[in-house]
Amino acid sequence: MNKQKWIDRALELGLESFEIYQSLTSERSVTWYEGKLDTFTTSKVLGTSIRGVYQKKMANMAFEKIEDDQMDAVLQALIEQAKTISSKEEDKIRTPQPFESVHKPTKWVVPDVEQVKEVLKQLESKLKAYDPRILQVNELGYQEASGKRMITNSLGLDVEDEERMQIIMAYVVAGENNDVQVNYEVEVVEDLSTLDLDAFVKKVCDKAIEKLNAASMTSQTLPVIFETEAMTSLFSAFTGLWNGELLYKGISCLKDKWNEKIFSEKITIEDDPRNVEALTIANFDDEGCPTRKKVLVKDGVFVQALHSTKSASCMQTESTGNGFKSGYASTIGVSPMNCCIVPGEKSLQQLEETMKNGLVITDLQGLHAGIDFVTTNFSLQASGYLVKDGKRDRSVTLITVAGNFMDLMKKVEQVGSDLDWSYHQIKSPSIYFKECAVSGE
Amino acid sequence: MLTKEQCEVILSRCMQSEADFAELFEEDTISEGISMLNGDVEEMNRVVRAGIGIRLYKGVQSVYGYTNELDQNTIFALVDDLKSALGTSNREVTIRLTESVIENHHPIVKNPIEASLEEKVALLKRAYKAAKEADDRIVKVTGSLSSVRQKVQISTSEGKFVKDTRTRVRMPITAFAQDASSMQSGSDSPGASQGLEFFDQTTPESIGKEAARTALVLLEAKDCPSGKMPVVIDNGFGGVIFHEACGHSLEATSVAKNQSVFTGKLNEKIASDCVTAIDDGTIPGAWGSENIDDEGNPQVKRVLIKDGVLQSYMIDRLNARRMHMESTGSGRRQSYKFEPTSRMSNTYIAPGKDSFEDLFAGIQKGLYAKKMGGGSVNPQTGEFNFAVNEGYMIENGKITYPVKGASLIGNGKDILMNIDKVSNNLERAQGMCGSASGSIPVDVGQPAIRVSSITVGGTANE
Repeated sequence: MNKQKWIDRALELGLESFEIYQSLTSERSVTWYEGKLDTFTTSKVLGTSIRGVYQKKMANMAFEKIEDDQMDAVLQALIEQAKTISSKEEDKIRTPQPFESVHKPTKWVVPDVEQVKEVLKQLESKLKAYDPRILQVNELGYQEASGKRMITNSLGLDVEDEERMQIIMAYVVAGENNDVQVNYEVEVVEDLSTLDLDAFVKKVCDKAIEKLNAASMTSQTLPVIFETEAMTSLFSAFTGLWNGELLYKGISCLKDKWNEKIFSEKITIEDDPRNVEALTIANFDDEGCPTRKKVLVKDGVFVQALHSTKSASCMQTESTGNGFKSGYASTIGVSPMNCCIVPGEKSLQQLEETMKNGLVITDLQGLHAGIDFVTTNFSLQASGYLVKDGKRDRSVTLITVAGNFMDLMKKVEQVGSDLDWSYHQIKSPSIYFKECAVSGE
Repeated sequence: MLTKEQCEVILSRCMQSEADFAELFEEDTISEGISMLNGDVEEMNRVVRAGIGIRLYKGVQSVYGYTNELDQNTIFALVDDLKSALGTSNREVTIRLTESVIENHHPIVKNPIEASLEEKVALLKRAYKAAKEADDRIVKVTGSLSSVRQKVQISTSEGKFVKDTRTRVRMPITAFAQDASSMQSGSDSPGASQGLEFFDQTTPESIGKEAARTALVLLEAKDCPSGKMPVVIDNGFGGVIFHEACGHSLEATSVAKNQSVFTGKLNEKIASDCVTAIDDGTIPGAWGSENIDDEGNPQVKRVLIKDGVLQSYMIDRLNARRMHMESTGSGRRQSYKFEPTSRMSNTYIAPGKDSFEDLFAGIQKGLYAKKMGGGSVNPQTGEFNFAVNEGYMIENGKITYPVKGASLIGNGKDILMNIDKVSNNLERAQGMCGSASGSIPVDVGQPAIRVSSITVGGTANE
């Protein structure tokens, strides 16, 4: 694709501005099962999306195969699309802005397939030998992905970046007395040769074994700690509350709560795409807007929303550099990146000791269905364990936790210190709440 | 698309290795989405996807690669990369393909990809108008019209060469109702393997009105109480209970590796006598139908459970090898970027003999789940959950008041045994199912059923 030719022709045909976004991704994965290579997957995909403004309306298209001789037909179709758009909101292609880049210090060491196979083989043996209650290793694998992002537009923007990721994952089944429980863990690995296999095996297996012999509990309202993974799931489902587009459309319930106290004063929320502690970083968003750190909630007060160029323009403000796509072919939406509830000072164990008697929720299921974003009501399948006199007691499964997210976040007793970004882009530490409704038997 | 001769060359190169089977899946897809807010077209996107997925087997080992760079050098490099993972060999193999022409059971009248933007926008506006005018309390309506045309070409080292075109349309509409105390939303999102003629039968007005009706009911709804109780689950999307709680556990993906509660249970009684369950990929024009699966096998009707007894799993080619059984034509994938595996198509519980009213008789306190949301299941443990979008309390055999915030949880193997009444009003509804081989269109369905006891999670303080 001759990008300059496309830009020149787009302007000639009457588009006011024009942008080309490309992503090139390569992936490789290996899975291992019962002593043998199970699957090997490799891929290379180039995606191109174009967008242009015609009579102040933005139109979008995306392609996996595109040739320069299609240029006129494609650009005409783009103009036809723009003519059909009737909403009043204005969207713009961005003028370049200077920015300083930060870089993650990660030094990826890329393993060859034989090395991956050897590590997976050792891991499988160690997982199976860890405890007689580990019945099966359902999934064991390694994945690596690298991607390049390139944005060029008719206003002089020309930026690109690259990222890489390597992970291992394991999914084990534990069983005892006719009860079966599972656990799935993912770990980012910079260098496979220095991975502490025993520590990973212990983490995977211990969590599965701890869940065994779980039973339901009677329905009640009681003090609850959402352990970091469960709290991360719940928080992730509601980060749309700060989405400028949903605020503008009146779908986020924070729409008329600017500078009001919405949560307990123990809650502060930040979004920082440049946080090098996090899994990945972005110095600019998918519109080429420089990113920055924002405080969304300060001591319980709602102070800042997230914006793309379009949502910012609708609300007469500036983009926060949160205009991201959900894949090269999607249109620009508003997304958090490296967004977290700021951790407190107490460990999970200290939270349990303070709570004395209550429930710790370690796992939530059904988040794509059991959440009503508009009302922030949730009713979710959960599992975890009871705490008695500050100590871990029996495991609990097949219960639901239900409530209203806005109400729950007012009942914070303590925020934990256990914020580990691991492979997340949205994260919360464990949080101890005064009470939450649980349904069981 | 690659020619038959080009496919023969690539497949021959694949088989010059230790592989005992090779498959090419090529795809050329155009999808389009038009989204509307309050009657104005807000956004539009048209995406052209084209690429190839190549798969090699050696016994039950599988290597898979995909690319959208369709020049010979890139494809050959990909093939060589795959072969090196399995083991190369110098044996001379020449693959010859024979094209099988398949009958199209899902003909399209008005091609949505070629239809004018004006025509599609007009359909969306009709849905908006019907929702908005349903009641003064409807304050906002969002909606979209999505169309997709996927052309696929599948060839294998066994000589198969087959093509299919899948065309689908869907219109999800969400209405927001507001009164002094709260805002609630309601949705409806029917779709089909049809062209725009689908909206002649399922009119945009009916979709808009249904979304508005649900939102308005929820304005009046009270918090749902919790605990174990009998639940009547209505027809249509109520079938998501079978899909989540049992369907996924009957897919070979989990059965073959002994990861399902139903592994080794063929010909055993796994459900109550009144349950017969079917997965049918052949229903003309249905959302989850196709002429062939994504491994090139003709779609068929599969009886999974008959009168409570397990008859069949849903099996793809690779898991058929693991299970020493035949494929049931259940290999599906989102696109060439996914290796196919066993998946559902249009899955439903067959109609029974009870009338709808019979289901409520004798219930002192229970829940009527009229409209279900989505859910999920862990096939290994059988534990499932799903959300009730529109529910009502049943008191002394009568429907009394609407409730919100309910979810149902339980274990698939228990729930199948606890279905004690099945009515005769079978209906299907559309959904997107996410699993190992991506997100694919499926129908779920059932007549109204009664489950004698299920855990309801609710928000009411009692």
